[in-house]
Amino acid sequence: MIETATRETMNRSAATSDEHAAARPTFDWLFVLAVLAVIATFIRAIFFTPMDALQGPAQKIYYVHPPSAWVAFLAFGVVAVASIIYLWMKDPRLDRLAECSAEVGVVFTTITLITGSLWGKPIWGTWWTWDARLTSTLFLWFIYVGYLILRGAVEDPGMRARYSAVLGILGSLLIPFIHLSVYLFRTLHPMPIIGKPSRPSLPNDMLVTFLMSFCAFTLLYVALLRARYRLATDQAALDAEEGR
Amino acid sequence: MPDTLGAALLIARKDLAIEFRTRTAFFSAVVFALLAIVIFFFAWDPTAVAASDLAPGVLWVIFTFSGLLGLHRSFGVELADRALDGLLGAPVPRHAIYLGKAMANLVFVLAIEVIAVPAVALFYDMPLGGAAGVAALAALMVLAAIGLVAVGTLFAAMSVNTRLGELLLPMLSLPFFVPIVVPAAQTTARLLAGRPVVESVGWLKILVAFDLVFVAACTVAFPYTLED
Amino acid sequence: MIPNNAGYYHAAYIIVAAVHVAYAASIWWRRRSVRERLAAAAARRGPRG
Repeated sequence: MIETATRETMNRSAATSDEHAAARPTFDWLFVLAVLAVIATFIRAIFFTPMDALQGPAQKIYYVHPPSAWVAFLAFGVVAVASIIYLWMKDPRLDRLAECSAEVGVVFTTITLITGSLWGKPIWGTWWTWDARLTSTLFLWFIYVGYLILRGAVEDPGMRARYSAVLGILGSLLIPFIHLSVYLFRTLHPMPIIGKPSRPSLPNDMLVTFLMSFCAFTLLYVALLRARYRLATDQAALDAEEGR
Repeated sequence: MPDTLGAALLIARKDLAIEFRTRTAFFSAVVFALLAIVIFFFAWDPTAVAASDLAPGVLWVIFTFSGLLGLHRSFGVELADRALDGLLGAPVPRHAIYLGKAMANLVFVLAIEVIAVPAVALFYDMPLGGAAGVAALAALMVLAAIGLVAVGTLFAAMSVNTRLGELLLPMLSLPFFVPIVVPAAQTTARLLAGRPVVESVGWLKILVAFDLVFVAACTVAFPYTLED
Repeated sequence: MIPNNAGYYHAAYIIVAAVHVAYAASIWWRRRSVRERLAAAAARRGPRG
């Protein structure tokens, strides 16, 4: 840790004359903490949380699916807010933040959809159901993918940032409409509810694991976001170098 | 405001004049719509599902895809000779460019539907419910088309500047068309089944809300898609 | 009768762990490659006073 600090001081003096020097990577304590939190949650969920007798062991997917969904939507919220502020202030760091949150977000959204299916099959009897939440998540995935592909298709950084920001903001407006449409659809077309258990009030043991999981995955999101952001900063520095 | 509207109407007229002169895009879109309507028919088992049950779904899917054809054309036409720069150089408010192009697209899409709706009615044995039914369907078409062109015109402006062009436009737009098509198809199905309009109010509210939100949002966002 | 569906939850947990590990690794790997190229570019430019 001391050597890292010394190296950083040396780099800082070099950086004053060369503004594009990439910072030496410091020990990523946040990431390690996040990983430990997730591992602890997994261990608690697998070994120290009682199984639901009615639903069986598959119920334990509940400890990873809603937290992933929460992060998926949180990440998009960050994309949307960063996009709005970017259009206002034109700071490229905001665009970078949006890009990073989109990438991390699509990972979490993919996980949400996969774990959702794996949960749906044993609990509800079907791999997919067109309910409002799952469908909204699916569309969130489409928006994310569209966002990332759009970024890949525009070369000019300024245009890329503006276009992405527009899509990020419009996408966030779309999701409530999707949710509403599916909700209304299901209200008017009652679909067979295949043994879906109503949300039980969780006994304390399970509730603690559940909350722990939310915290751990949120921490993981922040850690991944920060790591990805550092990559984006380095990439921007490289682009500037190679542009010379 | 009147200045913007006046400019928008001028731009819309210019676009439609160009389109009317060549008519290629319009005819291609119409032929595509008719072909798709016919092909869809053969994709289903007529003994399992009555054609008239399929009709609303087919009608609105065709609406989406032929709408996309028209949308790309609206900015594609400016690519030649960098005509867009000329447009931007003119003392025309940016919003007017968007509104003008959107209005031209609206006319284009509705013109396709004037042909597609009777075609679906014919091939799918779809009862139109007399004058009242046609009027209701027409009103629904206009509402849906407004939403489609609001979002589609914006994304067309963006796609035309990217490497992927025509591929990007459907990919970006289709998720946004869902809250238009679902209410529209559901309402159509109900109207054709003779249900009272009151039953479809929920869907219509979603559609109108979508139009209001996205016309506003896309008008505000459009200047950001142009060069500074 | 407790349903015999442990397989699903094993698969889910493994996938969650695997995807996150793979993604974190991809960030680490990409950052390493970018930093190498940055160092090379800086070396080409020569040391600045």
